[in-house]
Amino acid sequence: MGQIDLHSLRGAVARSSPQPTLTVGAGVSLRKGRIHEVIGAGADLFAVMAAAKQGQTILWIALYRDLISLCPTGLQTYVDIQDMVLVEAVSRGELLWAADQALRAEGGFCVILDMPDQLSLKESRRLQLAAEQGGGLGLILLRGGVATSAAQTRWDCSPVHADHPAWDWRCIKGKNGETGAWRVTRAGEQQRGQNAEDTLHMAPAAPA
Amino acid sequence: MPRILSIWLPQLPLDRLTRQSDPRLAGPFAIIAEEKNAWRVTHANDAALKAGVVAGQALADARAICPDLLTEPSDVVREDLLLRALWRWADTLSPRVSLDAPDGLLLDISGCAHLFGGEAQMGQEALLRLGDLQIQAQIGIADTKGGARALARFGPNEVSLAAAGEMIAALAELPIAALNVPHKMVSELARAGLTTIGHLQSQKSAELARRFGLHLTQALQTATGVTPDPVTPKVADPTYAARMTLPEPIGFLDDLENVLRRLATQICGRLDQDQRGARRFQLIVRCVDTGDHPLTIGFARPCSDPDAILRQFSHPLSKLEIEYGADWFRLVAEQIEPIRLKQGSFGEDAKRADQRLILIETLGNRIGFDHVRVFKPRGHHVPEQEFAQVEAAGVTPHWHPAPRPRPIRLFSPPEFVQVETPGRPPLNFKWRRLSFATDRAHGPERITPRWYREEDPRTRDYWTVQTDQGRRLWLLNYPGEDAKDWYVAGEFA
Repeated sequence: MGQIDLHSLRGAVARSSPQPTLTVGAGVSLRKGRIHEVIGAGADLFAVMAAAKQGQTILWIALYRDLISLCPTGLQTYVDIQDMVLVEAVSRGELLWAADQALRAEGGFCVILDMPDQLSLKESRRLQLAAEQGGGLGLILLRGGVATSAAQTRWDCSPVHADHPAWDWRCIKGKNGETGAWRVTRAGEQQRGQNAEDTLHMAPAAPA
Repeated sequence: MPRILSIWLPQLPLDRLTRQSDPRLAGPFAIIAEEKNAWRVTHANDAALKAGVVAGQALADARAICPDLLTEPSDVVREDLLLRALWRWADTLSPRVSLDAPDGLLLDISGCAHLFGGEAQMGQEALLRLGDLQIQAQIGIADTKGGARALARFGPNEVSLAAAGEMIAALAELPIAALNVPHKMVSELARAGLTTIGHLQSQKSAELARRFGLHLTQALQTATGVTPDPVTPKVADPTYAARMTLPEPIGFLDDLENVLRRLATQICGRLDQDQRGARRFQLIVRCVDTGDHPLTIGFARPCSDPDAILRQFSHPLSKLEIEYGADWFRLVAEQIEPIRLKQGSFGEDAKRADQRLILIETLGNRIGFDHVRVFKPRGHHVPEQEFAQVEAAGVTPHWHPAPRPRPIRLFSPPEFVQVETPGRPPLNFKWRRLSFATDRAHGPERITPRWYREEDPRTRDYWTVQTDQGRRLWLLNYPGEDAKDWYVAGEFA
């Protein structure tokens, strides 16, 4: 049994260059080349906001019923519709294959996978490896509950009852311990003097 | 003055069988077709003609006259294919050839005849070459299309010539049927005592037009060259295809890819030369035991890159089950489009667009191009008609923002809501098995559908509702009879 040199190991960890991250808003950042899980009723918006910040082609991979209800006349407020490509899969296998291909592809795309059920550890690990290869951003909308996964972070997002459209974004799992909670509103719909400490101002991505 | 050569192929269906050395042609033989509810003879060979069978005769009569008669129904598709093959062959005589379906070709030979030593020699040469192909033909050469057609069909010799500028004299002796006018009109003219084109020319054209219609005088004028009637050549589209036959069957994936690479390189070289690309490629692999296996791939933009073709074919090729090997391959490029050359290596935007298209191709080839889509604005006022999803391949995405922001999810058809405490909008309701209470509501936004279309004609009232539970819903109600029913039309972010 050889002894592990902890010092050299720490040095190696410190030397490895930090992954590029994507800042969605003040304090909210997502690592690129990773997959992130999103749950809750506000998951769509979280994914859309993050994708808009990525500024790349967005691939929205979903089953027909989830894809057909997407409404560009609403999304246009947050994201450039020209960047969106919709991929309709007919089975779970196709969903995963398409997401894997899109994450793996050269170009660092933003991939939003609308998953109707859980993702097993093996599946999420495969997607994670694909994301590392492509360097893009993977956002997985989990509709059917969560399970142990290889994702970098997990977000619970829900719209909240407030005077203005607002959302609670809670990072409930982070590989590097990056958890936290944010109350998010959209700038422009904000009344002066009412900003809480933890309110995050977000500018609309495209002129409405 | 243009010079037109018309080739008439009077026995084309029979020639097709002759070329296949059909043994039945030794005796009396006829091609038949169903016309006016009866099988009639359309073409008969020499032996049959000698026995008294004529074209247009009912089959029953022909059989009574000539009991040994053998027949075959006409095969329009194959005859057309033979005619089109001859159309391509006619390139050897003149670059401007047009099809004169169903049984002729028209060649504009202005400036070509001297290459064959004169027009008469050119006609003889064409007959000779067609004879080598076992095709019977008659040829007419004149100043006009109508004239050449008439001379080919009704001329005195195998090669009938009308000297330049002498159209009226050359056509005078020919019967009126040569003008390609309806059969009925020919018999009507015959009753009026007019049987040859010469007779028509001696009449006043205004009177002819009044009595028999403009069609007749027009045919006469174009045939005599009074009004121009040029040959509109339609060059057969070049086919980009290559095939390979191997002496021994192969079955390993590497070998298949090598064959494909050689075929693809050949086709792409030709495509590149013409500055074109193809959006679809089809590879036919002929296995020695199981026959042809067509494999198809598509591209989001015209492509002429062998590596890309190989990359996209790798998946279908790996799925192909070959047991005893394949020995015949054919690669065809389809949906040919011009390639606009652009600078590839510079500029982040161009690179990104390329990467996006490559991904669309990869996804589309596996799950179908109709499943990879983008949004397109449609400019209607009904919320679900404001946009459409269209195939992403071959479309430049564009979007102009709709005037009013809508929910980010739109349910079509809208989902029914169980109202618990009524109101306008309801104060308490259940949707998707969740209870909601209305806190604030904004509305109604009244939308009237397009009455001139076949769609739900009810007027709609939309309400934006902030629920106590946090979710912001777009409630829908049809004012009028069904005012009690509420629906969720969409969900805001």
